Amino acid sequence: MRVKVLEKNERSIEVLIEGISLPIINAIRRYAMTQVPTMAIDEVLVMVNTSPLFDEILAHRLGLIPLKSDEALEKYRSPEECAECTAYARGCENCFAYLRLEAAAEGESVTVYSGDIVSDDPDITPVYKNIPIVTLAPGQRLVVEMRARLGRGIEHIKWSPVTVATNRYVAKINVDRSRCDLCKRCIELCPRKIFYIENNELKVRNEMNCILCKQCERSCPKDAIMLSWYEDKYILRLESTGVLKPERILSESISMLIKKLDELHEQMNKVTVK
Amino acid sequence: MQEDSDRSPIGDESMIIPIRCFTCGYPIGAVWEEFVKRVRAGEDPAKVLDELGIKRYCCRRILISHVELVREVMYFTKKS
Repeated sequence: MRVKVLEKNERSIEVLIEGISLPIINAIRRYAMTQVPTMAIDEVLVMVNTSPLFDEILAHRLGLIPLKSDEALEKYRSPEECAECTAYARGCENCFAYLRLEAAAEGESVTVYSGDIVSDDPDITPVYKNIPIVTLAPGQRLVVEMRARLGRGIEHIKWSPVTVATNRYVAKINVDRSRCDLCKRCIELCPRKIFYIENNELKVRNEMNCILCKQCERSCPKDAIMLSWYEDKYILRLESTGVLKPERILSESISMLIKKLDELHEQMNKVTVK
Repeated sequence: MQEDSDRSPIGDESMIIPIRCFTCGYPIGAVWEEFVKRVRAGEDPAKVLDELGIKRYCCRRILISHVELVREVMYFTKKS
């Protein structure tokens, strides 16, 4: 098995994985979307709201604000444990982070930003400080208390740590140079600009960028281009919303999948031993 | 009631900028203010979006077509 990082930055990670079948890579991708826990505002207590937005819409907007979750995964209990927590109604501090938002417009209108949210826990703060939540006209006021907890994307998308999670094939482009007459049709048509001519030969660069649209194959009058894909090479791409580092999402989703399989393994052993 | 400079010159209608892209979930709310500021200053919206790192057209269409109606509606709420 071989893994190569093709791209990595603050927001996204792209890895080339060789030697694992597609269903497994797809399972990792789906776990990244639906199973990796993150922090998000789940309950909102509206004390005063004379803003133009209804309480429900306000609560929905607050829920969608990405909260930093790097520390939260160790600090707070998992959603399943919390569901059984007897202190749930009171709000156990191992399950919930408390946040508060207060704003008032006096002389002129005020825009309330995600940065105005005050958190009791310095590790759980909005990732972006400049998301507008609501605009208040003069005389309007907003006092809101919030509880954030760990959750999973399968419950609500606000807990999903990724925006885009994809896997794709790697193209195998074969050029039959004895047939190619350098008509340049493929060069013009390719949306990813993969072909070029060097020393009177059609050449291919950055195969990874190919989206397998087959425009080149179809347009070639001499049938010189053959497009297929590798059977055991895939590209997995995760893009974070900012709540967790992309590499963390990837490793968490893999370990989550392993944990689930271990559980299954254990259960199967019990069943078969009997 | 409202000065013209307060209005968005880039299309007009929806209440307040959505926090996330409807389609992919990217937190577009975070780039809205800078986007509007720069477009009002006369920059090309496409260029601004590229520089802000908004790559997908699902996110781009929300920012381009959004209108901050909340600035006009906010005066018509119930008196408290």
